[in-house]
Amino acid sequence: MLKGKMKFIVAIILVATTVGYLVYGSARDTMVYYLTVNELKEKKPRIYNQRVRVSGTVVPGTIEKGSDGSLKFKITDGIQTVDVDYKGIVPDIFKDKVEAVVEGKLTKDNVFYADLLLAKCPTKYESEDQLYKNKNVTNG
Amino acid sequence: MDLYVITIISIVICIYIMTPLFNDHNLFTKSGENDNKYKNMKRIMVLNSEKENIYSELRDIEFDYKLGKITRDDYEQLTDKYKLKAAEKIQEIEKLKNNQ
Amino acid sequence: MAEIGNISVFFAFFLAFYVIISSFLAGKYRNEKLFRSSENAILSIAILLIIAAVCLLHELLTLNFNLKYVALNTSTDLPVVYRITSLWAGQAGSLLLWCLLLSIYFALTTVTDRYKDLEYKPYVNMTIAVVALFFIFLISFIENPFDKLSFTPQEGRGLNPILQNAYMAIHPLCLYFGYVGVTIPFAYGMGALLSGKTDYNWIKQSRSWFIIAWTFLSVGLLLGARWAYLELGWGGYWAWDPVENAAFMPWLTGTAFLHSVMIQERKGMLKKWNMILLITTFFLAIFGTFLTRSGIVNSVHSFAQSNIGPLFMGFISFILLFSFGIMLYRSKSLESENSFDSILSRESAFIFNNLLFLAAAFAVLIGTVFPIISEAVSGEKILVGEPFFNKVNVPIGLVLILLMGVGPLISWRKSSWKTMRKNFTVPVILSVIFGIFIVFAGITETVAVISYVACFFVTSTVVIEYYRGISVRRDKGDNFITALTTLISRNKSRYGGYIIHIGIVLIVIGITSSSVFSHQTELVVNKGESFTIGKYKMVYTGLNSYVTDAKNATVADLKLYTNDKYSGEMKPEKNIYKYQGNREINQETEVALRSTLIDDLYVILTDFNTDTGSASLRVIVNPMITWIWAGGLVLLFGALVIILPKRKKNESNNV
Repeated sequence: MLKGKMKFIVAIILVATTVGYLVYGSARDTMVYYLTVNELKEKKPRIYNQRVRVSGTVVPGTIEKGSDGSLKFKITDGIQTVDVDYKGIVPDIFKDKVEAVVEGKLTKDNVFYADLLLAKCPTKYESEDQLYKNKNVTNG
Repeated sequence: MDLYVITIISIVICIYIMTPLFNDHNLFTKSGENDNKYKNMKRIMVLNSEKENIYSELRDIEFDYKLGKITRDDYEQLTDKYKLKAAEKIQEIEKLKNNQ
Repeated sequence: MAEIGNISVFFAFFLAFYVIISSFLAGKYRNEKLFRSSENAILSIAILLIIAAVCLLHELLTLNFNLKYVALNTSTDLPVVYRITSLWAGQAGSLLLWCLLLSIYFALTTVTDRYKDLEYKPYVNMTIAVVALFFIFLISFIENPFDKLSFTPQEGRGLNPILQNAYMAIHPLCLYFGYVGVTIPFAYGMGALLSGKTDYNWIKQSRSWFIIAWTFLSVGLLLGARWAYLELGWGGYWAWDPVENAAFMPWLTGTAFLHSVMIQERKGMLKKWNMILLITTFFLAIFGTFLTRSGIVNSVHSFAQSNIGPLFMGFISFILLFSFGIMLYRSKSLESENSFDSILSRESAFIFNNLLFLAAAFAVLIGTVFPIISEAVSGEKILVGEPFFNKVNVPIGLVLILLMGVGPLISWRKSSWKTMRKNFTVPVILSVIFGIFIVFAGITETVAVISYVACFFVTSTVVIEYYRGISVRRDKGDNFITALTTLISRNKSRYGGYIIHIGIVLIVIGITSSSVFSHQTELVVNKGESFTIGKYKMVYTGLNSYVTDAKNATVADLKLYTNDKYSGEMKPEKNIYKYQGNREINQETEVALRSTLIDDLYVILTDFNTDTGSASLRVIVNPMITWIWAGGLVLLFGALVIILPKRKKNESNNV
């Protein structure tokens, strides 16, 4: 029943092509670079006003609330630092020295305007370094 | 104390695992079984199961017809086809049984 | 106790080896003695791992901080119930749990399998034992929960507060029952291939075990979503996070498998395809376990964050190569017994269903590993965010819903245009009327309309199916109740499946409504001020605080009025957990939630000022979210209908 089989194969190809195109189009529209602070700075000026995601640690003492309800802080990767201006939901664990991921755009005034903020997900599988660090403190 | 407990448990487990190696079991094999008979039995089981599947299909076809999902013509055509298949299986089973 | 646990684990490791070897020999030489011995060893492994788990539990309950795992996951102020759940909070403990669950499933297969024979079951056992060996190896030598510290800390690090919640207690357990459970049907498939017996049995048994695993996965996913909704405080329940996707992918391919398996059972076709699906689902379950543990996707420029990563990759590669290899070797025995009767048939609809599910799984996989691939290929890490997943999966999902409606209306084997027209007319007309009605009622967003109409369509076909089925039985003289129960028990897969479909429909309606029609607002209120959102009005009466053993809580008191009628209080909280431990996370917000079938009112206290007494609030109204959880219950009910054995009746073979 070659004819029957042909129908199936044609149908499969059609579906695969449609989905393939859907995936390609969506990926193209939603792709963002995932950069360290240093990489972000290195990509200037091309990177201005391009939507990207940047990761870094929150520099202690830099978190402040703007008058317009935004949250301002600095993140660093040890090599470079950038100012962040963020409007949106703040995760509970966000504070000094936390590893943060922001998504948004770097503007010509070298401020990163972000609309997405993630602080490193409290994983269940943390290291035991802390235990050893505090060994002398807790072991009376 | 811990060590005693775990040693006893381990010994019990070892015994439990070793025992079947020294017993004579006949659950699957009959003493003096011959390979052909065993193979036949297995084949009959397979055929029976396939026969059941076909009966199930036939019941399904009838149900679909009653639900109005297939036309009378299709119903008759499919029923004939599957009845034939069932007959074939039954024939094969009979043949094997006679060979025992 | 820790010593007992440790030794039990090592002993289980050796026994797993023993099972592999003795099963192999038992199968190859049809040696019953070795087979019995190996099955005893399987039961022993389960006993040993239960002992190990009980030991670890004991150490956790008694807070023996000398044990690294206890020190990392508990603290002296941790409530007893969460000391128990901390058993699976950390990596070593959760791996032990994985092993335990696998050994229990394994033991169940030796006890329940009625079709035992020496040619086939030994290879099934061997396969499961290989998987068990890998995981027991991990907890014996790499991440041993019984590892000791060289000193005994005075205090443990404590359990993350967001894990101290009823849902986080059950959700991992449920998901693990799912992930682990996929091993069993996979092993039945491998058993068939290794022994060469690819005929009747393996698919029936695979399917029976698989639907159990699938049910756990489904419920586990929903529990996770509910946890996220209640604990993470952003008003949402699914973010296409790599860990979420990791659990979703095997669910997608697994659902495809559940459908295409029916074709194999009826017609002996699609054997190769089902084998591929089964191997893929198992691979995705293991891969999911790996993704959740290794941190491979989350951080920028890091691969293995722990030494478990490479080991998992090695194991996964071995599984893939071996299983596909043996499938190729036995491909002759996987040839179809029949051909399709017609392209216009339920078989075709099922194949289409499979393609779509696979497409969705593929898209989710691509989206999840995109950063890894892009970094490997171009050196730059590129990711696709949440919008990607929605853009791809929403269209696929809508087509799948329509297919859910079409499926029941087409018969197996062969359908004719005549009968199709007859069957489709009523549901289609009703759905169109419904569509027009909702558009006039004010719903104009395209996606929402399509979604609601599709859901209505599916519901109408299910109702019609039930109605017709009951009518047929009533013609035979049954009363309504008997007709219904007989109908379901004679055709459990079909009518139970329809119930599951209704569950899915409810979930989709909930997702659509809450995605398209939610409102959110952020504001700062001072004492005495009120604000409105939709039909809700809230009056802020001030800040309050209270103290418990575990936390210092600050509460914003809000009086709620629905349609101007007083309807209770909303008390969102912001808590500081007091730890004697040294955990960095000690802050937590508790959402104030009021759920009805119509919508959820969700209030979060984002900030407060004790000097001025003002509070910053985020208020969200999420329509019909409860339908998601309700749908989950319906899904569970449908699954139980399929899984639970029917009462023994004398089936008449009157053909």
